[in-house]
Amino acid sequence: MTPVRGWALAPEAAFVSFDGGVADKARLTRPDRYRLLEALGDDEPRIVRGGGYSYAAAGFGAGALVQDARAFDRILAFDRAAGTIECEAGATLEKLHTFLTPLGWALAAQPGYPKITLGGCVAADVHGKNQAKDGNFGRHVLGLRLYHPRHGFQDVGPGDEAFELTLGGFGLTGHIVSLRLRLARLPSATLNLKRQRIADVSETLSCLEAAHEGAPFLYTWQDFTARGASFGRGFVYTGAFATGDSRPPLAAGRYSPIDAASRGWPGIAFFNRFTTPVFNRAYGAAQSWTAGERRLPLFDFLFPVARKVAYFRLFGRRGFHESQFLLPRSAFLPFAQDLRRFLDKHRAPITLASAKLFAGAPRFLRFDGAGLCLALDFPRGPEAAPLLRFLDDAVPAHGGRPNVMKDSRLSAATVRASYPEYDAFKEALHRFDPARIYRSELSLRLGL
Amino acid sequence: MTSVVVGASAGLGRALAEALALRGHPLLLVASDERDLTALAADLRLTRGVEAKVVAHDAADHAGLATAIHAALREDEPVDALLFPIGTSVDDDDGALPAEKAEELVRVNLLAVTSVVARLLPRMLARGQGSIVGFGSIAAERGRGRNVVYAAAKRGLESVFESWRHRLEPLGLSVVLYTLGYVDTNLAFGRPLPFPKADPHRLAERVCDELGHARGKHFLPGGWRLVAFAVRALPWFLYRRARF
Repeated sequence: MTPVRGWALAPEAAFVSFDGGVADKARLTRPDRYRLLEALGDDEPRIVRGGGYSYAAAGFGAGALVQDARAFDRILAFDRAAGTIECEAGATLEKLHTFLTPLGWALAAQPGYPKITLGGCVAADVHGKNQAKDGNFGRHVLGLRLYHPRHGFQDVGPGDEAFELTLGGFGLTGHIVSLRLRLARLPSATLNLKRQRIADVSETLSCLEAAHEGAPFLYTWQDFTARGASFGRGFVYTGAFATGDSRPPLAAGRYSPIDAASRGWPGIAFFNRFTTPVFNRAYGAAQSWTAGERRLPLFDFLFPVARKVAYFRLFGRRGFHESQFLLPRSAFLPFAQDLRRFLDKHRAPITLASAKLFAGAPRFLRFDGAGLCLALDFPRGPEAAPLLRFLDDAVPAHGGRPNVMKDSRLSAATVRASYPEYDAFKEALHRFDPARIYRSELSLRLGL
Repeated sequence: MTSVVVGASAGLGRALAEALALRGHPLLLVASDERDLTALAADLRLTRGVEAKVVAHDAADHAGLATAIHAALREDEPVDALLFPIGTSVDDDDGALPAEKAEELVRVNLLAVTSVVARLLPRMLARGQGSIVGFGSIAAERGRGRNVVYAAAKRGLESVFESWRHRLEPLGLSVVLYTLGYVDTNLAFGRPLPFPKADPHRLAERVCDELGHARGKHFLPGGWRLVAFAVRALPWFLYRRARF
């Protein structure tokens, strides 16, 4: 490696996946100048990292040198009239929110934590609470600048193979340096959040579909530890912009950040078979006491996790599992009934169950498609094994696909079974990067 | 009322540029790579609404650097502050550094600063107002077997700043040199260090808050004053054994 002014490397940095499931040590660099991106030898295995909020180990592992690229976080251009923006991919959702909100624009689709980077959004082709209406993050990407030692800096757009591979490609095509996005107009910086009851899991789909018409944002919170007829009871939340409201916009409060390294602090695992049903019951009751309709600042609505990070800490150092999967609409109820029968026999402490409507066309390994997306959280540990085995079988059996970014122990076999374009993705990736120099624990585990 | 930041694209220099932009100062950003500079200038224009010009030039060519900066300023453009968060060191600077590498260290750490100030001094003196801000290093407090030429260049910088202060303070300019310890940028990244690293943003805020008022030599953060005192006070028979 040629010595380049400004080069620095930490020989042994510790990494852990956000769910606590995978830990490893790796060499770490924090390039803060463009020439440092070009400074690595062409055959050095590496992976680029943003905030490290992927639940699976997408940003380290497999002996790769980790490049923390968050210094490349600058806004490069903004077309106020057309509603497009160009930024470096290390920019966080928070940075864009702060810049765009006063100007009346917003990202069209974004996940729920403010320190997630745009590069991470592309690499996992993330979604927000408005997926059925506005699709995944990638739908709004007009182009990106990709760096790969073999190809140099390339500007690619929809239709180019490199672009299609990069969207939902987990950073395996190279460093996403910058991107151009189409934004959505913001009618208001305040939202009306409405809450309606769901009596049990069989009402999930109908409640979502009924609410979908009027509201761009839509999701459920459900209790999967409730027994008997009330299994899956909870609420459906709809968010709509508070237009025509003469009251001044609410200011978003402060929040204390969390990341993969600090998630395990203070290290006390609270959730188990006994505490979880109580927790869920209490949370459900607390929700009923608040007003059925209330106003929220946009920041709080978009990033609800920001002030609820204690939830992740309650899993202790061991961490948690999140299984998030997309099922065809017709398969949801049969799946839910199978799950319920399973849970009757094995009482798993499901700490969070949340559903969203999805619409789209899946490609490669992207978590996209039409149907109902369900996320289940539960504590990590030997007791989780039966539920994991059940989900590994039941999800593909019902025609569903699991979110690769959320489950840090998904096997290549499960992904192959759930993603028909797995082989096409792998072949195209190997054509693009025969030496496969961008790699991670995730890519190794999935056989890519 | 432009602030010129030499070494603006990364680390402390970028933090300074951002802190100045936050305070509404129009900027002239100088570094070696145009890609870094245009990205930073665009971001500051868009997020802070300040004018930001760029000059891409290698600091090792200190004469060319001074000319390029001078050319980028309009004839009547006043320079309010001149900041030099610039410096470079190499790992094998242990006394046996080859001539060209040693010379580069002197050019970047010392001569880039003196040449640029020499070129811009007339317009600053004509205005009778302005600040010259430099950054030295705790390594210059006492020579050791590491960073030999780097420390010498930084010690030279201290002398230059003393001289400038002597000549220019009576003429209305404020001249200040901040002696830095470890800063959390790529200069110190990845090394096991005996003292904690300072956050460049906090340092930048301090410097900008005091801009125009601070004079002389200051340790930043102030606690390094104690380290410097201890290092200088150690008798030779102990210092020769020190391996920091």
